[in-house]
Amino acid sequence: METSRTFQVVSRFHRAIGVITIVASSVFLLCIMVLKVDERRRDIAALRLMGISRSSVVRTIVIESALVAVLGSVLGVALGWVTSLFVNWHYQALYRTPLEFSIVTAPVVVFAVSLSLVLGIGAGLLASVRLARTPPLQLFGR
Amino acid sequence: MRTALAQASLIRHRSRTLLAVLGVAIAAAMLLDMVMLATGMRESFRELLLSRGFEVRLAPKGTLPFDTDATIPGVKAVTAVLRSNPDIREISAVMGGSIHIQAGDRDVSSAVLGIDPSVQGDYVSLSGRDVKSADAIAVNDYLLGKLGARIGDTVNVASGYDPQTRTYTGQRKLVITGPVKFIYGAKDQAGAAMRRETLEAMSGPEKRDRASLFMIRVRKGADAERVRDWIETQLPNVTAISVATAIAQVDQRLSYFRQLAFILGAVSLFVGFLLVTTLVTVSVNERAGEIAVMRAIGVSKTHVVQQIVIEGVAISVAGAVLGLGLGLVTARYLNAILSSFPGLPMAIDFFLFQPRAAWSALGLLIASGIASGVYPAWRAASLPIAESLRREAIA
Repeated sequence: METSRTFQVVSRFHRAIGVITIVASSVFLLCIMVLKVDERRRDIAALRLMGISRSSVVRTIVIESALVAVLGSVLGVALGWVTSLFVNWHYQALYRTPLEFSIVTAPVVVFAVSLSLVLGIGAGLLASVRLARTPPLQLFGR
Repeated sequence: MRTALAQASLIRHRSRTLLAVLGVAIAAAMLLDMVMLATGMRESFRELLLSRGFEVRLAPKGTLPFDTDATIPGVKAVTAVLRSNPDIREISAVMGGSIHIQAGDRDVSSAVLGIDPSVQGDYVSLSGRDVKSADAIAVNDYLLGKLGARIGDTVNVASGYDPQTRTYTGQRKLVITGPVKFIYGAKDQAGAAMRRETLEAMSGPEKRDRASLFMIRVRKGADAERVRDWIETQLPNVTAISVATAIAQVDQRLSYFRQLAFILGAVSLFVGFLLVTTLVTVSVNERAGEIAVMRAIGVSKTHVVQQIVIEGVAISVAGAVLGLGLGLVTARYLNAILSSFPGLPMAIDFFLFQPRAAWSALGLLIASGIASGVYPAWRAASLPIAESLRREAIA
Protein backbone atom coordinates (compact mmCIF):
# COMPACT_ATOMS: atom_id res chain seq x y z
CA MET A 1 0.00 0.00 0.00
CA GLU A 2 2.77 2.42 1.05
CA THR A 3 4.94 1.31 -1.89
CA SER A 4 2.04 1.95 -4.24
CA ARG A 5 1.56 5.44 -2.77
CA THR A 6 5.30 6.09 -3.11
CA PHE A 7 5.13 5.16 -6.81
CA GLN A 8 2.08 7.39 -7.24
CA VAL A 9 3.92 10.37 -5.71
CA VAL A 10 7.02 9.78 -7.87
CA SER A 11 4.81 9.38 -10.92
CA ARG A 12 2.95 12.66 -10.18
CA PHE A 13 6.30 14.41 -9.72
CA HIS A 14 7.57 13.06 -13.05
CA ARG A 15 4.38 14.18 -14.80
CA ALA A 16 4.74 17.70 -13.35
CA ILE A 17 8.39 17.87 -14.43
CA GLY A 18 7.31 16.59 -17.87
CA VAL A 19 4.71 19.36 -18.24
CA ILE A 20 7.27 22.04 -17.25
CA THR A 21 9.76 20.58 -19.73
CA ILE A 22 7.15 20.59 -22.51
CA VAL A 23 6.29 24.25 -21.82
CA ALA A 24 10.00 25.16 -21.78
CA SER A 25 10.65 23.24 -25.02
CA SER A 26 7.64 24.87 -26.67
CA VAL A 27 8.86 28.38 -25.89
CA PHE A 28 12.37 27.40 -27.00
CA LEU A 29 11.12 25.94 -30.28
CA LEU A 30 8.91 28.96 -30.89
CA CYS A 31 11.85 31.30 -30.29
CA ILE A 32 14.18 29.41 -32.61
CA MET A 33 11.60 29.19 -35.40
CA VAL A 34 10.69 32.87 -35.15
CA LEU A 35 14.38 33.83 -35.19
CA LYS A 36 15.07 31.52 -38.10
CA VAL A 37 12.29 33.00 -40.21
CA ASP A 38 13.11 36.53 -39.07
CA GLU A 39 16.70 36.05 -40.23
CA ARG A 40 15.42 35.56 -43.76
CA ARG A 41 13.53 38.82 -44.00
CA ARG A 42 15.68 39.97 -46.96
CA ASP A 43 15.13 36.71 -48.90
CA ILE A 44 11.40 37.07 -48.33
CA ALA A 45 11.50 40.71 -49.46
CA ALA A 46 13.36 39.68 -52.62
CA LEU A 47 10.83 36.91 -53.35
CA ARG A 48 7.94 39.32 -52.84
CA LEU A 49 9.55 41.94 -55.11
CA MET A 50 9.98 39.29 -57.83
CA GLY A 51 6.22 38.82 -57.76
CA ILE A 52 5.94 35.63 -55.70
CA SER A 53 2.59 35.67 -53.90
CA ARG A 54 2.23 36.00 -50.14
CA SER A 55 0.62 32.55 -49.87
CA SER A 56 3.53 30.92 -51.76
CA VAL A 57 6.04 32.59 -49.43
CA VAL A 58 4.09 31.47 -46.36
CA ARG A 59 3.74 27.93 -47.72
CA THR A 60 7.47 27.67 -48.48
CA ILE A 61 8.41 28.78 -44.99
CA VAL A 62 5.86 26.52 -43.31
CA ILE A 63 7.14 23.50 -45.27
CA GLU A 64 10.68 24.42 -44.33
CA SER A 65 9.68 24.75 -40.65
CA ALA A 66 7.93 21.38 -40.78
CA LEU A 67 11.05 19.77 -42.27
CA VAL A 68 13.23 21.29 -39.57
CA ALA A 69 10.76 20.07 -36.91
CA VAL A 70 10.75 16.53 -38.37
CA LEU A 71 14.55 16.45 -38.55
CA GLY A 72 14.80 17.78 -34.99
CA SER A 73 12.24 15.23 -33.79
CA VAL A 74 14.14 12.33 -35.36
CA LEU A 75 17.36 13.52 -33.74
CA GLY A 76 15.50 14.11 -30.45
CA VAL A 77 13.98 10.62 -30.45
CA ALA A 78 17.41 9.09 -31.10
CA LEU A 79 18.95 11.19 -28.32
CA GLY A 80 16.08 10.31 -25.99
CA TRP A 81 16.50 6.61 -26.73
CA VAL A 82 20.26 6.73 -26.01
CA THR A 83 19.61 8.76 -22.82
CA SER A 84 16.99 6.23 -21.75
CA LEU A 85 19.54 3.40 -22.16
CA PHE A 86 22.03 5.35 -20.04
CA VAL A 87 19.42 6.15 -17.35
CA ASN A 88 18.44 2.47 -17.07
CA TRP A 89 22.05 1.32 -16.99
CA HIS A 90 22.92 3.86 -14.26
CA TYR A 91 19.94 3.33 -11.94
CA GLN A 92 19.82 -0.43 -12.38
CA ALA A 93 23.45 -0.53 -11.23
CA LEU A 94 22.84 2.00 -8.43
CA TYR A 95 19.79 0.28 -6.93
CA ARG A 96 20.80 -3.26 -8.00
CA THR A 97 17.47 -3.94 -9.65
CA PRO A 98 16.32 -5.20 -13.06
CA LEU A 99 13.49 -2.60 -13.04
CA GLU A 100 13.40 -0.26 -16.04
CA PHE A 101 13.43 3.40 -15.02
CA SER A 102 12.91 4.87 -18.47
CA ILE A 103 11.00 3.26 -21.33
CA VAL A 104 10.66 4.82 -24.79
CA THR A 105 7.22 3.70 -25.98
CA ALA A 106 5.46 4.31 -29.30
CA PRO A 107 2.85 6.68 -27.76
CA VAL A 108 5.66 8.75 -26.18
CA VAL A 109 7.47 9.01 -29.54
CA VAL A 110 4.23 9.88 -31.40
CA PHE A 111 3.40 12.54 -28.77
CA ALA A 112 6.88 14.10 -28.92
CA VAL A 113 7.02 14.15 -32.74
CA SER A 114 3.44 15.49 -33.05
CA LEU A 115 4.06 18.22 -30.49
CA SER A 116 7.26 19.28 -32.18
CA LEU A 117 5.52 19.29 -35.60
CA VAL A 118 2.58 21.34 -34.33
CA LEU A 119 4.88 23.83 -32.61
CA GLY A 120 7.27 24.00 -35.57
CA ILE A 121 4.51 24.57 -38.12
CA GLY A 122 2.71 27.00 -35.78
CA ALA A 123 5.84 29.05 -35.18
CA GLY A 124 6.75 29.03 -38.91
CA LEU A 125 3.22 30.13 -39.83
CA LEU A 126 3.19 32.88 -37.19
CA ALA A 127 6.52 34.33 -38.26
CA SER A 128 5.98 33.97 -42.03
CA VAL A 129 2.50 35.56 -42.01
CA ARG A 130 3.92 38.51 -40.06
CA LEU A 131 6.77 38.95 -42.55
CA ALA A 132 4.61 38.35 -45.64
CA ARG A 133 2.30 41.16 -44.53
CA THR A 134 5.17 43.61 -44.09
CA PRO A 135 5.92 45.69 -47.26
CA PRO A 136 9.05 44.27 -49.00
CA LEU A 137 10.94 47.57 -48.95
CA GLN A 138 10.40 47.83 -45.22
CA LEU A 139 11.86 44.34 -44.89
CA PHE A 140 14.92 45.59 -46.75
CA GLY A 141 15.23 48.35 -44.19
CA ARG A 142 14.48 51.09 -46.71
CA MET B 1 27.53 54.21 -24.92
CA ARG B 2 27.95 50.41 -25.11
CA THR B 3 24.91 49.85 -22.91
CA ALA B 4 22.83 52.35 -24.92
CA LEU B 5 23.71 50.60 -28.20
CA ALA B 6 22.95 47.17 -26.72
CA GLN B 7 19.63 48.49 -25.40
CA ALA B 8 18.75 49.99 -28.80
CA SER B 9 19.51 46.70 -30.50
CA LEU B 10 17.26 44.75 -28.11
CA ILE B 11 14.41 47.27 -28.34
CA ARG B 12 14.56 47.28 -32.15
CA HIS B 13 13.06 43.75 -32.16
CA ARG B 14 10.79 43.91 -29.13
CA SER B 15 8.77 40.75 -29.74
CA ARG B 16 11.87 38.70 -30.47
CA THR B 17 13.60 39.97 -27.33
CA LEU B 18 10.51 39.33 -25.22
CA LEU B 19 10.23 35.77 -26.51
CA ALA B 20 13.91 35.15 -25.73
CA VAL B 21 13.51 36.64 -22.22
CA LEU B 22 10.51 34.36 -21.67
CA GLY B 23 12.53 31.34 -22.83
CA VAL B 24 15.40 32.25 -20.50
CA ALA B 25 12.89 32.87 -17.67
CA ILE B 26 11.53 29.33 -17.99
CA ALA B 27 15.05 27.90 -18.11
CA ALA B 28 15.98 30.07 -15.10
CA ALA B 29 12.90 28.92 -13.17
CA MET B 30 13.78 25.30 -13.86
CA LEU B 31 17.41 25.93 -12.89
CA LEU B 32 16.40 27.61 -9.61
CA ASP B 33 14.03 24.74 -8.81
CA MET B 34 16.73 22.19 -9.45
CA VAL B 35 19.31 24.07 -7.34
CA MET B 36 16.67 24.24 -4.59
CA LEU B 37 15.95 20.51 -4.93
CA ALA B 38 19.63 19.55 -4.87
CA THR B 39 20.47 21.57 -1.74
CA GLY B 40 17.13 22.12 0.03
CA MET B 41 16.33 18.51 0.94
CA ARG B 42 19.59 18.05 2.82
CA GLU B 43 19.34 21.46 4.56
CA SER B 44 15.72 20.89 5.54
CA PHE B 45 16.59 17.48 7.00
CA ARG B 46 19.57 18.91 8.90
CA GLU B 47 17.43 21.71 10.35
CA LEU B 48 14.82 19.14 11.40
CA LEU B 49 17.37 16.91 13.13
CA LEU B 50 18.95 19.83 14.98
CA SER B 51 15.67 21.60 15.77
CA ARG B 52 15.65 20.29 19.36
CA GLY B 53 19.42 20.20 19.87
CA PHE B 54 19.89 16.39 19.84
CA GLU B 55 23.06 15.64 17.90
CA VAL B 56 23.33 11.86 18.32
CA ARG B 57 20.65 9.15 18.07
CA LEU B 58 20.90 5.49 19.04
CA ALA B 59 18.85 2.86 17.23
CA PRO B 60 18.91 -0.96 17.48
CA LYS B 61 21.99 -2.36 15.68
CA GLY B 62 21.76 -2.15 11.88
CA THR B 63 18.57 -0.07 11.78
CA LEU B 64 17.55 3.56 11.43
CA PRO B 65 15.30 5.20 14.08
CA PHE B 66 11.79 3.69 13.87
CA ASP B 67 12.70 1.84 10.67
CA THR B 68 11.67 -1.48 12.28
CA ASP B 69 9.89 -2.67 15.46
CA ALA B 70 13.23 -3.69 17.01
CA THR B 71 14.09 -2.19 20.41
CA ILE B 72 17.17 -1.65 22.56
CA PRO B 73 17.07 -3.67 25.80
CA GLY B 74 18.24 -2.36 29.19
CA VAL B 75 17.32 1.32 29.18
CA LYS B 76 18.72 1.82 32.70
CA ALA B 77 22.03 0.11 31.89
CA VAL B 78 22.44 2.00 28.59
CA THR B 79 21.65 5.29 30.35
CA ALA B 80 24.25 4.53 33.05
CA VAL B 81 26.93 3.87 30.39
CA LEU B 82 26.03 7.08 28.54
CA ARG B 83 26.09 9.14 31.73
CA SER B 84 29.70 8.07 32.33
CA ASN B 85 30.78 10.21 29.36
CA PRO B 86 31.21 13.85 30.51
CA ASP B 87 30.55 15.08 26.93
CA ILE B 88 26.97 13.79 27.09
CA ARG B 89 24.63 16.38 28.60
CA GLU B 90 21.12 14.92 28.25
CA ILE B 91 19.64 11.55 27.30
CA SER B 92 16.10 10.98 26.11
CA ALA B 93 14.89 7.38 25.80
CA VAL B 94 11.88 6.97 23.50
CA MET B 95 9.62 3.95 23.13
CA GLY B 96 7.51 3.68 19.99
CA GLY B 97 4.35 1.68 19.52
CA SER B 98 0.73 1.78 18.51
CA ILE B 99 -2.46 2.17 20.51
CA HIS B 100 -6.21 1.86 20.04
CA ILE B 101 -8.45 4.54 21.48
CA GLN B 102 -12.15 3.93 21.87
CA ALA B 103 -14.27 6.79 20.61
CA GLY B 104 -17.90 5.85 21.19
CA ASP B 105 -18.47 2.64 19.24
CA ARG B 106 -15.43 3.25 17.07
CA ASP B 107 -11.81 2.25 17.51
CA VAL B 108 -9.18 4.78 16.40
CA SER B 109 -5.61 3.55 15.92
CA SER B 110 -2.63 5.79 16.42
CA ALA B 111 1.15 5.75 16.67
CA VAL B 112 2.37 6.50 20.19
CA LEU B 113 5.62 7.61 21.76
CA GLY B 114 6.59 6.85 25.34
CA ILE B 115 8.81 9.70 26.51
CA ASP B 116 10.23 11.50 29.51
CA PRO B 117 8.57 14.95 29.25
CA SER B 118 11.50 16.74 30.90
CA VAL B 119 13.97 15.82 28.10
CA GLN B 120 11.77 14.89 25.14
CA GLY B 121 12.56 16.21 21.67
CA ASP B 122 9.72 14.71 19.66
CA TYR B 123 6.92 17.24 19.91
CA VAL B 124 6.04 20.80 20.84
CA SER B 125 3.12 21.49 23.10
CA LEU B 126 0.57 23.75 21.40
CA SER B 127 -1.51 24.52 24.51
CA GLY B 128 -2.65 22.92 27.75
CA ARG B 129 -0.39 20.84 29.98
CA ASP B 130 2.37 18.37 29.13
CA VAL B 131 2.14 14.67 30.05
CA LYS B 132 3.40 15.20 33.60
CA SER B 133 1.33 12.45 35.27
CA ALA B 134 1.06 8.73 34.58
CA ASP B 135 -2.59 9.00 33.44
CA ALA B 136 -1.95 11.74 30.85
CA ILE B 137 -1.89 11.47 27.07
CA ALA B 138 -1.06 14.22 24.58
CA VAL B 139 -2.42 13.93 21.04
CA ASN B 140 -1.95 15.79 17.78
CA ASP B 141 -4.74 17.79 16.14
CA TYR B 142 -5.37 15.09 13.55
CA LEU B 143 -6.02 12.43 16.22
CA LEU B 144 -8.06 14.86 18.32
CA GLY B 145 -10.28 15.47 15.28
CA LYS B 146 -10.63 11.75 14.56
CA LEU B 147 -11.60 11.08 18.16
CA GLY B 148 -14.03 13.98 18.28
CA ALA B 149 -12.69 14.60 21.79
CA ARG B 150 -11.67 17.73 23.69
CA ILE B 151 -8.81 18.60 26.01
CA GLY B 152 -9.55 17.27 29.48
CA ASP B 153 -11.65 14.32 28.21
CA THR B 154 -10.90 10.86 29.58
CA VAL B 155 -10.46 8.15 26.94
CA ASN B 156 -10.08 4.37 27.00
CA VAL B 157 -6.68 3.49 25.55
CA ALA B 158 -5.45 -0.04 24.77
CA SER B 159 -1.99 -1.07 23.67
CA GLY B 160 -3.15 -4.15 21.77
CA TYR B 161 -6.09 -6.14 20.41
CA ASP B 162 -6.52 -9.89 20.70
CA PRO B 163 -8.49 -11.01 17.62
CA GLN B 164 -9.24 -14.49 19.09
CA THR B 165 -10.93 -13.23 22.24
CA ARG B 166 -11.91 -9.95 20.56
CA THR B 167 -10.71 -8.01 23.54
CA TYR B 168 -8.35 -5.09 24.02
CA THR B 169 -5.18 -5.71 26.00
CA GLY B 170 -3.26 -3.33 28.27
CA GLN B 171 -6.22 -1.01 28.79
CA ARG B 172 -5.94 2.28 30.68
CA LYS B 173 -8.12 5.33 31.18
CA LEU B 174 -6.05 8.39 30.23
CA VAL B 175 -6.79 12.11 30.29
CA ILE B 176 -6.06 14.18 27.17
CA THR B 177 -3.84 16.98 28.49
CA GLY B 178 -3.11 19.05 25.46
CA PRO B 179 -2.72 19.14 21.70
CA VAL B 180 0.86 18.72 20.49
CA LYS B 181 2.66 18.92 17.16
CA PHE B 182 5.02 16.05 16.41
CA ILE B 183 8.26 17.30 14.88
CA TYR B 184 8.87 14.12 12.86
CA GLY B 185 5.17 13.44 12.24
CA ALA B 186 3.83 12.90 8.74
CA LYS B 187 0.81 14.67 7.32
CA ASP B 188 -2.47 12.91 8.14
CA GLN B 189 -0.78 10.69 10.73
CA ALA B 190 -2.48 10.16 14.08
CA GLY B 191 0.05 10.56 16.89
CA ALA B 192 0.01 10.48 20.67
CA ALA B 193 2.56 10.73 23.48
CA MET B 194 2.54 9.51 27.07
CA ARG B 195 5.11 8.86 29.76
CA ARG B 196 7.40 5.93 28.89
CA GLU B 197 6.54 4.18 32.17
CA THR B 198 2.81 4.32 31.28
CA LEU B 199 3.42 2.81 27.84
CA GLU B 200 5.68 0.12 29.35
CA ALA B 201 3.04 -0.79 31.92
CA MET B 202 0.39 -1.04 29.18
CA SER B 203 2.58 -3.04 26.79
CA GLY B 204 3.42 -5.93 29.13
CA PRO B 205 6.67 -7.47 30.35
CA GLU B 206 8.22 -7.98 26.88
CA LYS B 207 8.50 -4.19 26.42
CA ARG B 208 9.77 -3.49 29.95
CA ASP B 209 13.01 -1.49 30.23
CA ARG B 210 13.30 -1.21 26.44
CA ALA B 211 13.54 1.78 24.10
CA SER B 212 13.15 2.18 20.36
CA LEU B 213 15.48 5.15 20.29
CA PHE B 214 17.82 7.22 22.44
CA MET B 215 18.38 10.87 21.64
CA ILE B 216 21.48 12.53 23.06
CA ARG B 217 22.44 16.17 23.56
CA VAL B 218 26.19 16.70 23.81
CA ARG B 219 27.97 19.30 25.92
CA LYS B 220 28.55 22.65 24.19
CA GLY B 221 31.86 22.55 22.35
CA ALA B 222 32.06 18.73 22.39
CA ASP B 223 32.59 16.86 19.12
CA ALA B 224 29.42 14.88 18.31
CA GLU B 225 31.37 12.55 15.98
CA ARG B 226 33.77 11.60 18.79
CA VAL B 227 30.83 10.95 21.12
CA ARG B 228 29.25 8.77 18.42
CA ASP B 229 32.46 6.74 17.99
CA TRP B 230 32.75 6.33 21.76
CA ILE B 231 29.16 5.05 22.06
CA GLU B 232 29.68 2.48 19.29
CA THR B 233 32.70 1.06 21.14
CA GLN B 234 30.88 1.03 24.52
CA LEU B 235 27.50 -0.28 23.32
CA PRO B 236 27.96 -2.91 20.60
CA ASN B 237 24.20 -3.65 20.26
CA VAL B 238 23.31 -0.15 19.05
CA THR B 239 23.91 1.93 15.93
CA ALA B 240 24.91 5.47 16.84
CA ILE B 241 23.87 8.05 14.28
CA SER B 242 25.14 11.62 14.29
CA VAL B 243 23.51 14.37 12.23
CA ALA B 244 26.29 14.05 9.63
CA THR B 245 25.82 10.27 9.26
CA ALA B 246 22.02 10.64 9.16
CA ILE B 247 22.34 13.21 6.37
CA ALA B 248 24.75 10.93 4.50
CA GLN B 249 22.22 8.06 4.74
CA VAL B 250 19.35 10.26 3.57
CA ASP B 251 21.57 11.53 0.75
CA GLN B 252 22.15 7.94 -0.32
CA ARG B 253 18.46 7.02 -0.15
CA LEU B 254 17.33 10.12 -2.04
CA SER B 255 20.27 10.29 -4.45
CA TYR B 256 17.80 9.85 -7.32
CA PHE B 257 16.31 13.33 -6.74
CA ARG B 258 19.73 14.94 -6.44
CA GLN B 259 20.89 13.38 -9.70
CA LEU B 260 17.65 14.34 -11.42
CA ALA B 261 18.13 17.91 -10.16
CA PHE B 262 21.67 17.97 -11.51
CA ILE B 263 20.68 16.65 -14.96
CA LEU B 264 17.62 18.89 -15.38
CA GLY B 265 19.53 21.90 -14.02
CA ALA B 266 22.33 21.32 -16.52
CA VAL B 267 19.83 20.90 -19.39
CA SER B 268 18.02 24.12 -18.38
CA LEU B 269 21.27 26.04 -18.27
CA PHE B 270 22.30 24.67 -21.67
CA VAL B 271 18.90 25.51 -23.21
CA GLY B 272 19.10 29.06 -21.84
CA PHE B 273 22.64 29.38 -23.17
CA LEU B 274 21.65 28.09 -26.60
CA LEU B 275 18.68 30.42 -26.80
CA VAL B 276 20.67 33.55 -25.96
CA THR B 277 23.51 32.52 -28.29
CA THR B 278 21.07 32.02 -31.17
CA LEU B 279 19.34 35.33 -30.57
CA VAL B 280 22.55 37.33 -30.31
CA THR B 281 24.07 35.55 -33.34
CA VAL B 282 21.02 36.35 -35.49
CA SER B 283 21.14 39.91 -34.24
CA VAL B 284 24.86 40.20 -35.15
CA ASN B 285 24.27 38.69 -38.62
CA GLU B 286 21.54 41.24 -39.27
CA ARG B 287 23.75 44.11 -38.16
CA ALA B 288 26.89 43.00 -40.01
CA GLY B 289 26.88 46.18 -42.09
CA GLU B 290 26.24 48.38 -39.09
CA ILE B 291 29.11 46.76 -37.17
CA ALA B 292 31.40 47.14 -40.21
CA VAL B 293 30.56 50.88 -40.35
CA MET B 294 31.35 51.23 -36.63
CA ARG B 295 34.67 49.47 -37.12
CA ALA B 296 35.42 51.59 -40.23
CA ILE B 297 34.96 54.87 -38.30
CA GLY B 298 37.44 53.69 -35.65
CA VAL B 299 35.33 51.92 -33.01
CA SER B 300 37.59 49.34 -31.39
CA LYS B 301 37.08 45.57 -31.49
CA THR B 302 36.80 45.55 -27.67
CA HIS B 303 33.95 48.06 -27.84
CA VAL B 304 32.03 45.85 -30.32
CA VAL B 305 32.67 42.71 -28.24
CA GLN B 306 31.54 44.44 -25.04
CA GLN B 307 28.35 45.73 -26.65
CA ILE B 308 27.38 42.25 -27.85
CA VAL B 309 28.25 40.57 -24.55
CA ILE B 310 26.08 43.20 -22.75
CA GLU B 311 23.15 42.18 -25.00
CA GLY B 312 23.54 38.53 -23.95
CA VAL B 313 23.88 39.40 -20.27
CA ALA B 314 20.88 41.77 -20.39
CA ILE B 315 18.61 39.03 -21.80
CA SER B 316 19.94 36.55 -19.22
CA VAL B 317 19.47 38.94 -16.26
CA ALA B 318 15.95 39.97 -17.35
CA GLY B 319 15.04 36.30 -17.83
CA ALA B 320 16.60 35.36 -14.48
CA VAL B 321 14.63 38.01 -12.58
CA LEU B 322 11.38 36.88 -14.21
CA GLY B 323 12.39 33.24 -13.68
CA LEU B 324 12.94 33.76 -9.95
CA GLY B 325 9.24 34.42 -9.33
CA LEU B 326 8.20 31.67 -11.73
CA GLY B 327 10.65 29.26 -10.09
CA LEU B 328 9.28 29.91 -6.61
CA VAL B 329 5.72 29.21 -7.77
CA THR B 330 6.67 25.95 -9.52
CA ALA B 331 8.87 24.92 -6.57
CA ARG B 332 5.88 25.29 -4.25
CA TYR B 333 3.75 23.15 -6.55
CA LEU B 334 6.43 20.43 -6.91
CA ASN B 335 7.11 20.50 -3.15
CA ALA B 336 3.42 19.92 -2.46
CA ILE B 337 3.58 16.79 -4.65
CA LEU B 338 6.70 15.35 -2.98
CA SER B 339 5.46 16.24 0.53
CA SER B 340 2.74 13.62 0.12
CA PHE B 341 5.34 10.82 0.30
CA PRO B 342 3.97 8.31 2.83
CA GLY B 343 5.60 8.67 6.25
CA LEU B 344 7.61 11.77 5.34
CA PRO B 345 7.83 14.28 8.23
CA MET B 346 5.73 17.35 7.49
CA ALA B 347 8.67 19.61 8.30
CA ILE B 348 10.76 18.22 5.43
CA ASP B 349 10.87 20.40 2.34
CA PHE B 350 12.32 19.04 -0.90
CA PHE B 351 12.42 22.54 -2.38
CA LEU B 352 13.76 24.87 0.26
CA PHE B 353 14.36 28.47 -0.74
CA GLN B 354 17.76 29.64 0.38
CA PRO B 355 19.22 32.98 -0.76
CA ARG B 356 22.41 31.06 -1.58
CA ALA B 357 20.48 28.87 -4.04
CA ALA B 358 18.99 31.95 -5.73
CA TRP B 359 22.42 33.58 -5.98
CA SER B 360 23.92 30.36 -7.37
CA ALA B 361 21.22 30.18 -10.06
CA LEU B 362 21.64 33.87 -10.90
CA GLY B 363 25.45 33.52 -11.00
CA LEU B 364 25.22 30.51 -13.33
CA LEU B 365 22.82 32.38 -15.63
CA ILE B 366 25.01 35.50 -15.78
CA ALA B 367 28.06 33.32 -16.50
CA SER B 368 26.02 31.58 -19.22
CA GLY B 369 24.88 35.01 -20.54
CA ILE B 370 28.51 36.14 -20.82
CA ALA B 371 29.52 32.83 -22.44
CA SER B 372 26.62 33.02 -24.89
CA GLY B 373 27.77 36.44 -26.07
CA VAL B 374 31.34 35.28 -26.69
CA TYR B 375 30.80 33.42 -30.01
CA PRO B 376 28.68 36.12 -31.69
CA ALA B 377 30.99 38.83 -30.32
CA TRP B 378 34.01 37.03 -31.74
CA ARG B 379 32.23 36.74 -35.12
CA ALA B 380 31.29 40.42 -35.07
CA ALA B 381 34.78 41.57 -34.09
CA SER B 382 36.43 39.51 -36.82
CA LEU B 383 34.13 40.66 -39.67
CA PRO B 384 36.19 41.81 -42.67
CA ILE B 385 35.33 45.52 -42.73
CA ALA B 386 35.66 46.27 -46.46
CA GLU B 387 33.89 43.11 -47.61
CA SER B 388 31.02 43.62 -45.17
CA LEU B 389 30.57 47.22 -46.31
CA ARG B 390 30.59 46.18 -49.98
CA ARG B 391 28.01 43.43 -49.31
CA GLU B 392 25.86 45.93 -47.42
CA ALA B 393 26.08 48.44 -50.29
CA ILE B 394 25.07 45.76 -52.85
CA ALA B 395 22.19 44.64 -50.63
